[in-house]
Amino acid sequence: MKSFFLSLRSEFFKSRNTLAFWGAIILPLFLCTVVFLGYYFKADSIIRGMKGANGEAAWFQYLSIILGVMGSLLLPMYLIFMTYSVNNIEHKAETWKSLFSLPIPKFTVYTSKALYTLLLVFISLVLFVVLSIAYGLILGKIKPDFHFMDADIMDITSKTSKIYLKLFIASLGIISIQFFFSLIWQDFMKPMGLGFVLLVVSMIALKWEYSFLIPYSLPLKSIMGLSKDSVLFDKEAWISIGYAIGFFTLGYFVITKRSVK
Amino acid sequence: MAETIIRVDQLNFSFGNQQVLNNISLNVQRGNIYGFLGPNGSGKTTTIKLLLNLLQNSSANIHLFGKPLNQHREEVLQKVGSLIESPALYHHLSGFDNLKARAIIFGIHEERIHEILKIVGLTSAAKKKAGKYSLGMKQRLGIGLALLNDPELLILDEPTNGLDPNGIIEVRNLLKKLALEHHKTIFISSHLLAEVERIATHVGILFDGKLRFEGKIEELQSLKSIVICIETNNNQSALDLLNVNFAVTNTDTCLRIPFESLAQIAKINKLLVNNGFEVYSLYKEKKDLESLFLDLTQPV
Repeated sequence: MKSFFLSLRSEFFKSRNTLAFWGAIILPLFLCTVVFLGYYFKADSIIRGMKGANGEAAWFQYLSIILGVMGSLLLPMYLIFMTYSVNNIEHKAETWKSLFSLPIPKFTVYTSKALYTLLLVFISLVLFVVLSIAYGLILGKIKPDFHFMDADIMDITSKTSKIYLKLFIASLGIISIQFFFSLIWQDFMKPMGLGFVLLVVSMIALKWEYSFLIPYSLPLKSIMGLSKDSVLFDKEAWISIGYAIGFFTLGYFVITKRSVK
Repeated sequence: MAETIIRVDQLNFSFGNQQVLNNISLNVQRGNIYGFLGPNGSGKTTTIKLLLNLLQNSSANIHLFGKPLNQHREEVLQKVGSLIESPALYHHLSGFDNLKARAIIFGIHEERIHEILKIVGLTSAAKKKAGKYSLGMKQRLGIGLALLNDPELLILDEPTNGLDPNGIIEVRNLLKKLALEHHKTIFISSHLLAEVERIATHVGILFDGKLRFEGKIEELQSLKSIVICIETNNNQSALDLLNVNFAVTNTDTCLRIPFESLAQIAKINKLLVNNGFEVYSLYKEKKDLESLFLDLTQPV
C-alpha cells in the first residue's frame, strides 16, 4: 500500500508543469471566469432574459450554462486529451521500461497511473463546483438583481456537487477507454483520432434508443436527463462503471502480459 | 567462493518464430565487471530485458542473487539498478527532479539525490532541464537513476552508445569508480570490444543468440595467437613460394603465417632471400582482440 501512495505521489511530482496537470486547473478556471465575466458585463440583458427567475431557478440558469458547455463537448474532449497526455509522459521519455523494472509490483505502477488520471478529472470537476459557486456568490453580492442570495446556498452547493459527481461517474467509461488507447499506442493520432471519431459517432447516435450503450455519449446523457428526482447511480452511471472496470482491467493485462519495448 | 549474482541456465527466447536466444548460460560473480559483448542484433538487449523481467519468460532459468527472478521479482529487483538502451528521462524535468521523481517511489531522502549528482558529476547541472543535457550528461543521469537506491548490481545496456570520445571516457571512469569505490557488480553490454577490454574483469561474447565465449578477460587475451607478418617486394610471388611449406594468408598489408619458433622465422627469411625476394619487414604480431572478436563472432 505504501508503494502505491509513493508511486501516486511520484505521478503528481513528475506531471507538474505539464499540460495534463495544468489542463485540470485551467479548464474550470477559464470556463467559469468567462461565464462570470459574461454575467457581470451583460447583467442587464441576462436579468431581462431570466423573466423574473430568482433564487434556485436563477442559480440553475447560471450553472447550466457552464454545465452545458462542459458536458456536451469540452469534457469528453478534455478527457481524450488528458488521458493521452498522462501516458504520453512515459511514452515520450521511454520510461515504461524503467518503471516496470522497478522493485515494485507492475500492478502498483499501473494502478497508480490509472488512479492519478481519475484524480486529475476529479480535481477538475471539484474546481468546477467550487469556482461556479464562488463566482455565483460574488455575482450575488455585486449584482443583487440576479437574486442569487435568495436561495439556500448549502442546498445549491450540494445539488451542484451531486450533478458534477454524476458527470464524473458518467465520464469513467471514456476515461478508461481513452486511457487504454493511449497506453497501447504511442503516437498522437491513434488515441486522439479514434477518440474524436467515437465522440462524433456518439453525438450523431444520441437519439438512438440504445445510445446509452455508447460510453462517449454518457456525460451528455447524464446531464440531459437531469430532473429533481434523478438518482446518482442510474442506468448510465452503471454502464459507465461497467466500461471502466472492463477497460482498466484489460489495460492492466495488456501492459503486463505484453513485453515492454 | 564468491557469491553468484547472476545465473542464467540454458535460456532460450523467441519473438514469434524467430529464435533470439539459443541456450544461453551466464555466470556473474559478486564484484565482477562483466562485459557482455556482441554485435548489434545478437540478442544482448533481449537478454538484459529478460534479466529485468521486462520480457515474458515462464521458465525459472534466471537466478539473481541466488533466487529465481520469476518468483522473487520485487525482492531481487530491489538490489538491481538498470539502464536500458537510451536513458529514460523526463525531458521537462530538471536533472534533480528526474532523480526526485524516482526517489519518491523509493522513499529516498534528498541528501541521497545530492550524493548521486556528485557521483555522476552533475551537481552543477542539477537545475538544468534534462532535455537540454548533452548525450553524455543524459547517460550519466541515467546511470545516476540506476544508482539511486544503492543497488548491489548494475545492469547497463550499451551505456556508451552514441557518445563522443569525451563522453565515453566520462562514463568509463564513472564505471571504474563505481566498481572500485562503491563495490558494485556491473553487467555491461557493448558491441565494442575495445571499450569492454578497458574495464571488464570478465567477458561473455554473444553472437547470433549463442554464447561463444565466457571467462576472465585474461583468458580471452590468452586466446590471442601469434603470427609472423612478412612484407616483400612481391607479396603475390612470395605467397606462392611460401605456400608450399607454410599455411600462409594474404592480407592487404602483409603475408601472415602462424608463429611456431624463431628458427621458423629464420627459415622463412632464408627461403625468401635465396629466391631473390627483397624482404622489407619480418616481425611477430599478436593477433589483437579485435580480430579475435571478429573470429569468435563469425558465423560457423
